[in-house]
Amino acid sequence: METYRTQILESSTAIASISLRTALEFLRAAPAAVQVLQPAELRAWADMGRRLAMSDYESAASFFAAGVEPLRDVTEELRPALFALCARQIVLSTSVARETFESLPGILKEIDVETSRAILDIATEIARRSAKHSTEFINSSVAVSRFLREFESAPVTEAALALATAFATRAGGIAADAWSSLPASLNTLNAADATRLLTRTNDFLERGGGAALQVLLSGGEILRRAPEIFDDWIDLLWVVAAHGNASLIAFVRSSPRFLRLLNEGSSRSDAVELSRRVLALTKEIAAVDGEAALACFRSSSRALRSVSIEQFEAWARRGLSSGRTDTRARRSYFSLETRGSYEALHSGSAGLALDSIQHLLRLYVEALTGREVDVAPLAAVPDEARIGDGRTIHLPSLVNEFGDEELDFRLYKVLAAHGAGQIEFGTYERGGILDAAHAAISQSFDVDVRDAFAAPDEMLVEQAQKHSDAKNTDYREVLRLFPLAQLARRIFGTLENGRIDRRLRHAYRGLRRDLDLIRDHLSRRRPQIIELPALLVPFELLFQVTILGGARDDARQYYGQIVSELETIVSDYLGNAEATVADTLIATGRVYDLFQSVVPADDSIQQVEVPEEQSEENDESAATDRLKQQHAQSMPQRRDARELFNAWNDPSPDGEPDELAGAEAWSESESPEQVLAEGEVAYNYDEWDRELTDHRLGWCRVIEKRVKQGDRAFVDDTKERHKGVISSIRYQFQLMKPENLTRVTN
Amino acid sequence: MVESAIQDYRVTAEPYYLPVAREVELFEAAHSARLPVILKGPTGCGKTRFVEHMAWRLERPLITVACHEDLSSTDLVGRFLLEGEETIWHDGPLTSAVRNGAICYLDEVVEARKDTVVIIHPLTDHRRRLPIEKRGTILEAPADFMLVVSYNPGYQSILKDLKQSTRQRFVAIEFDYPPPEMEAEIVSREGGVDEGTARDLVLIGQKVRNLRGHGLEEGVSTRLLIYAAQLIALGIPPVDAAEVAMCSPITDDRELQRSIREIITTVI
Repeated sequence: METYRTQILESSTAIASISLRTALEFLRAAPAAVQVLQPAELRAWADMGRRLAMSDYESAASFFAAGVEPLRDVTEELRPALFALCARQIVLSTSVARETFESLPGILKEIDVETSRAILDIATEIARRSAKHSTEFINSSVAVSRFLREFESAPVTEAALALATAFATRAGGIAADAWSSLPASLNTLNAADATRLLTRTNDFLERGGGAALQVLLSGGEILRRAPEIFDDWIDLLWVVAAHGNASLIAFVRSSPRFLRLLNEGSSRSDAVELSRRVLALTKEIAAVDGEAALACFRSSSRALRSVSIEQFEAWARRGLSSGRTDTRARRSYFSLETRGSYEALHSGSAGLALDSIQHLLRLYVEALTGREVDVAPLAAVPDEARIGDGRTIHLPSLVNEFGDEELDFRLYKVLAAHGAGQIEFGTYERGGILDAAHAAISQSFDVDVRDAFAAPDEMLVEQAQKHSDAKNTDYREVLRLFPLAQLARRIFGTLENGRIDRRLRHAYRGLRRDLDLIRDHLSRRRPQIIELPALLVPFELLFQVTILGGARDDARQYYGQIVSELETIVSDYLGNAEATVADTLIATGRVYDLFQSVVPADDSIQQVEVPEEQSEENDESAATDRLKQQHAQSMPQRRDARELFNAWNDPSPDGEPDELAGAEAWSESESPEQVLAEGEVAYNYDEWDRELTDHRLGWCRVIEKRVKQGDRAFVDDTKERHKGVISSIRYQFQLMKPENLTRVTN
Repeated sequence: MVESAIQDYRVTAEPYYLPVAREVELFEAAHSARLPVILKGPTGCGKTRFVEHMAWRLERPLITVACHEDLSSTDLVGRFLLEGEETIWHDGPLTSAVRNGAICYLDEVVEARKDTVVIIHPLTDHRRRLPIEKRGTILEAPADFMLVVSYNPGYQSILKDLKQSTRQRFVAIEFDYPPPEMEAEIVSREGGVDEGTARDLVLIGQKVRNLRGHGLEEGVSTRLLIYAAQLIALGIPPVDAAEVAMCSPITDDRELQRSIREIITTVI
């Protein structure tokens, strides 16, 4: 007792030298604290309060007033570590230290003593550099330790704690991110694989915390998808790591996507075998050039869709043996950006160019429709036929989907038949039943407006005039009636393609073979619905139900109710062999209503955004961001329908629905493409690269715009969009001097 | 020509013909009014079959002359031929028809030389007589005689066209390919195939006809559709039958042939 008295007097004296009131509060709380704390702990507690008082008297007073009763639940052997952690944190942040002091008793209650002691030690180590991360580490510990307990394996827990310790010692704050990512990284792994991943990750700490964290995140996904190739992958990482952390991190981040793409359309055993060979090949390249290896790795899934693995290997080795020392040229080769590279890859199957069959397809379409049409090249192979203007049919300038000219031609044929079908089956009809559809849809929205918002009279008059004026309308005018015209256009495009597909099948028995071939091809390439961002899911469901003849099993499993509703609508309106464009419009209204009905009418709607590729250089922050994304998109078992359709309700009037995953899906591009406005068509041109002495394929994108005479909006928009480079362009022009003219001085 | 010989020109069994419009009625009226008839229409649309059918209906012999560039007036009217020690007159098909009150059908009359065609002028107006210059006689046409000519407007050119003085002696009945349903019925009946196959063939025919003006002077005729059907009925695979009957015969342009093949595989 004497010891306690001495401690209290000494401590209160020290506190009183800063704040008398705080010292008074300490003295009031001390008798109760004596009942809980050891003398040394009492001293640590008092010292903590003293430090608090140095920054904020009130806070220190309330700290002592709160007492130490919660510490009664903390075993005595943990308390010194607890006070050590708080003492370490308080040097950097008093508020964080106090928060930790208050929350720790509750946290430690949930975790066994051994693990708690290790966690406190790690947190203390982290607190040497960052109090905030130290607290984040502590806060995530309950969930992580609960997750680790589920393995029922001591080696897993030991490896996890060893990894966290190593992270804390070597990388500091990022240890908190690594720790909290463990549930996501180790999810569904067995104990052996989990231990393997943790141990391997630990090895990579010598390359820095950011690199190790990326290995942890991507390694988990690789072990889940293809544990057979994990060791090969790790071996490759060490080879790539020799070229620097930027290459390593970019490589690690590309890996899960590579596996996902490679898994599409092939059996698991084939995918594993392919992955092994690609990894081995990449390792060969990585021994020479890390960036080129990364480019080759990224190109592999795209290339292997159209050529065999043997062709791919031959192409890669040709690239290595070309003797080019220029890194940029080599990288362009392995990125498949240049014509030389493209031709080297496809030697033997260069795809089918539209040029070579344009006249034939034109004859084909004119025979089917009995009308003169133009065939125009399109920049990319679309998933769906574009709803055009009825005079021009847009077809991709090159098709190399099958690696076989005959099959590639059949794809062209199907796209041409779809274009012809739009003409033949009345997509561009005017008047008649379309006027009726116009009136029906217009009326449905009027009712909504009247009911929901008690619209002003002017609006009702305007709507009524719309009804009476609806003469000789076409589908475009009907679509303009929808409040979210972009959404309506997108839905209409898919549904109309579905109608055309059905009518083609009904009218042309022989074409069904080709339609089935392309349908199967498209089906094989569909992504797993669970892997899609929420933004893309509704369109994918509609696409599957309408164009692919039914939803895939995974879509049905996760979104059964929505699929069922879409199937009913499609069957009701497009099932009829004589369905018209008016039926499509009414079906568009139904799908549109379906989307509207499941959207909550409050401000809590969160827009779902497509995650974009992150910069490779900013490794640590990128890793942290990615971690947050992973948490946000953590494997939903059955998504809420509201979340599903939020994506459709983008209030922004800008942009084209095509950007969702439209007719030109620029999935491979690294930078976002300028969105297309209604009626615009994009063309891709090859561009000569003087330094590479080769053409870059599809490098230049030109959008054909129709601008009204006298309208300056386009000029202003263009100047605004490119204001950053205008002065540079002007300067370049000014540098140009006529070669044959010389200044004459008088 | 003796009576027994003219009997050979009688159409004894009813030729199958499916009227498309009022052509039967018009033809009968023209026959009653003793008016010559010109049948205009693309090749293979049923003009000849129609004339055969009308000859059977009207119970008149039918003498058909396929006109060509070397056809002379002598070939039509007749000539003296040496037979042993004698020179004997032989009636030409036109004279035989006039003499026997038959229907004389000059197929593709535009192919004949202009001086040859002029020989029919006295037969096609109110005179209805055929001067036989070599014999110095004039043959009066009986009431049952009827002159029918056909030509294909698709082949018109400056060199090959009917003069107005010839054209304006006829009443004209226009022919075209029958509407799809009727054409399918014809193909099914004549080709011996089921209705579905016939409909497919007709659909191909319709689509290929859209290519007129793209290197095709004429589309696929009903006759070719029937040929294809007949091959199918004999067990030839439909795509092969359609190709040999409807693709190669109508064009030598490889791209056009390929596009027609694609139409065929689109339908069948």
